[in-house]
Amino acid sequence: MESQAVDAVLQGLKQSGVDFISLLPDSDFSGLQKKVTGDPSFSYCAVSNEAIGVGVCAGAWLSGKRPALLVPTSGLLVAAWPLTSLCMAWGLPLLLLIPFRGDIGDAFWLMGPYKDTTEPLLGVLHIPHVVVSKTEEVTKAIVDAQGSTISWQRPVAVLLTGETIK
Amino acid sequence: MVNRADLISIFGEMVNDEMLVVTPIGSTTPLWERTGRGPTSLTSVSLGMCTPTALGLALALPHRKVIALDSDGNLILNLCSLGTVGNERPKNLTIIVFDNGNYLSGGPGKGKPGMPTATAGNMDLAAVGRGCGIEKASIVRTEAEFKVAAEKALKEDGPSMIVAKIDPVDVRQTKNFREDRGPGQDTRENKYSFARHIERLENIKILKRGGG
Repeated sequence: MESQAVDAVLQGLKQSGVDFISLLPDSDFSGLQKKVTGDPSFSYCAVSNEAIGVGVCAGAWLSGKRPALLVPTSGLLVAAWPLTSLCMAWGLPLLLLIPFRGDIGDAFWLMGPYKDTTEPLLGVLHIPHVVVSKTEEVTKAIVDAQGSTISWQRPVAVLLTGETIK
Repeated sequence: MVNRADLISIFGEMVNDEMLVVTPIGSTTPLWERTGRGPTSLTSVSLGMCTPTALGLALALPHRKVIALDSDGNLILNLCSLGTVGNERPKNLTIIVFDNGNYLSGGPGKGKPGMPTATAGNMDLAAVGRGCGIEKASIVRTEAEFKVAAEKALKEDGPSMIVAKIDPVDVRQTKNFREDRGPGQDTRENKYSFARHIERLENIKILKRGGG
């Protein structure tokens, strides 16, 4: 992820009032992770699987925080259980930021299966999502998604692809 | 060993409304609801998610005592959450694990235990907790030990973890199994009652009413 895209994500998170971030350290988010951990605007909790991240964010939201979960593409599958059993069952908001590995144009063959799983899984989980490929569109997409997740009281995802994760 | 119902009853006398309690799906929740604190607790949290959700509460409200009333089957599913607790080290978090050594939900019912969990074998959850950095992790096997450990955990800084070795089956029998299974409140109502409780405690607005 290039620095311009990292800055655009940070700007979106701040503009939308996100103040609590959970993340499983991931190569696609390493630059963003460094910025987030050093930024006093955010409470930050690194987790060792994404399901725990969903739980931590659920607790944070119920405490008045505005959480976001930064989820590697594969980790969305790990998070599917509590996204269903917690967020869907309780009606809990959660902003999901997902680098869309395996999208068309991703040269790494091992990511191919996630083209088949990512968007269909979000559909099955009733998680509305927006796909963003241009860096200039990232900030607004995050602000809109955060507004929607709070308004609708269910998770909303932003999939980052194209130049945003180069 | 002791039974879960008695320990929950004892613990119910120790906590007050200023403390936040999270309970998992399974036998603990209906027993906790008997204390009358169901609407001000987060209850029936899904398998493996009790301690992670309590951790989120504890991190977001560091001045307020948060207790996860977890269980062996639930905790083992997301065991790595203890690593996060051990690294974050929230002073206000206490994890109580009712460890009966079996999956009651997979059991035959009628007062018989289900398939064994790993703690029925060689797993020592308190040792796992200490290995993850939760230094105040202990095992209790009697009501007296539980009282001492719980009082200490509520009084002192954490994180702390109490693994209570309990009877393999609960006192509650299964005569009216189906009739007993209805929730005191469903998850949506629990969300609102719990969030409103925190709003009152913290004097904040969590559930905001938006404009058109």
